[in-house]
Amino acid sequence: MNRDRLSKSYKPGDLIKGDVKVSSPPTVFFLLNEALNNPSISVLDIANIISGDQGLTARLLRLANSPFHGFPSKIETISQAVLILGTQQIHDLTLATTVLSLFEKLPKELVNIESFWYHSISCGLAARVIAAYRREPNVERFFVAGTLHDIGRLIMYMKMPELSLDILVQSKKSGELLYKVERERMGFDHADVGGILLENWKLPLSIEEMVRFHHNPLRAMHFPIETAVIHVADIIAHAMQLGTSGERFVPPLDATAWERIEISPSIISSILKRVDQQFTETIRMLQVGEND
Amino acid sequence: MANVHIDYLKPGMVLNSDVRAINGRLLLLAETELTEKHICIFKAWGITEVDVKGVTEKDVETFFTEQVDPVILIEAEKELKEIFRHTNRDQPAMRELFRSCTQRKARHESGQIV
Repeated sequence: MNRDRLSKSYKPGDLIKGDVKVSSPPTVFFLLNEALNNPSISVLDIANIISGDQGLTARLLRLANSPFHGFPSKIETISQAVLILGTQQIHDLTLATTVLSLFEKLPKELVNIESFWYHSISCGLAARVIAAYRREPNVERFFVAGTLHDIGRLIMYMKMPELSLDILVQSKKSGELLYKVERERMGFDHADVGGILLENWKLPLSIEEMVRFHHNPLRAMHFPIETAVIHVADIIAHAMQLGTSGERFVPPLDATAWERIEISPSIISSILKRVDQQFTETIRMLQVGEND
Repeated sequence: MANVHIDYLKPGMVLNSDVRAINGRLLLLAETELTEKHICIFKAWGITEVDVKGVTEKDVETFFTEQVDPVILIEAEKELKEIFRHTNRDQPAMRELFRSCTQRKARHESGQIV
């Protein structure tokens, strides 16, 4: 049967092999990663690397000046931004903005690119709001993990469009959750693919775990709380219907993961409001193109 | 006491607890009587709702339902029930998420600011 022919040939690792664009992170990010691991590097060196990419520079400055960070005066240069936000946050913001360029290559028949990217951003925002409520240091890490959480699905759509379409159709017909159909048909799901990809990119283990286990939060051994935050943020993003990566339904909540993040159900409505407030602005700031 | 959305705040209302920005900075102390200027400051700081004295959760709910056409509310609930079908709404967090999303959707549909 057609089904078996399509499903048999894949292992999650195969999906990220052989494509330079996918198997390695974007160049600026790579340079920056190297630089941050080098103890003798200066803020100026870091600013120089970023300034090599004009679009990135403009987007980073817009992000650094967003009301979310709340600095009283305008940040005008990348070196100021690096000094004020710190190298870790700059690293994370760079990752978020560079990776988003990958989204431009999605096959249109499978999913609306804009919708995919709206879902990713709203999950990132929800994760960052929850992290802020929890008084986590470096909330941008949560924003990054949230925007990347479905990147495995992006890879699936690019690398196996035929099987992906088949899985989408099957989920639509049966009304079953998309990640469950993925597991049934392939033996793994998009979160596994995303995890392997980010591991290959040598991203921090925290981000890798948040992505890899967002549908299976109790399997996160090193960063159980962080992973639980992404698990909940994904549920909130789905419930807000701001976009979708293919899934139509709100995924089920893992009760233990919910307990781990220690927030009260009563603040859910303020989380929704904050995400709504930041959504349009963030989309505008991260937009690739004319305004850079 | 109940959390009142910023759009429904009126000068003269009295704060039941301190108002803090998302970064923890104290903006206004409990027991303060609100003025127009305070409400502007909340907006500038991205505060969405504050805890006000003498208003109950029930008042807020009633106020909300008075603002929204019941037909729109029922429609919103119906649509959200479908997309929530794989979740367990006996969990308090999911029940609250469902409730908040229904209200948000109904407000959207009836053209109100979120």
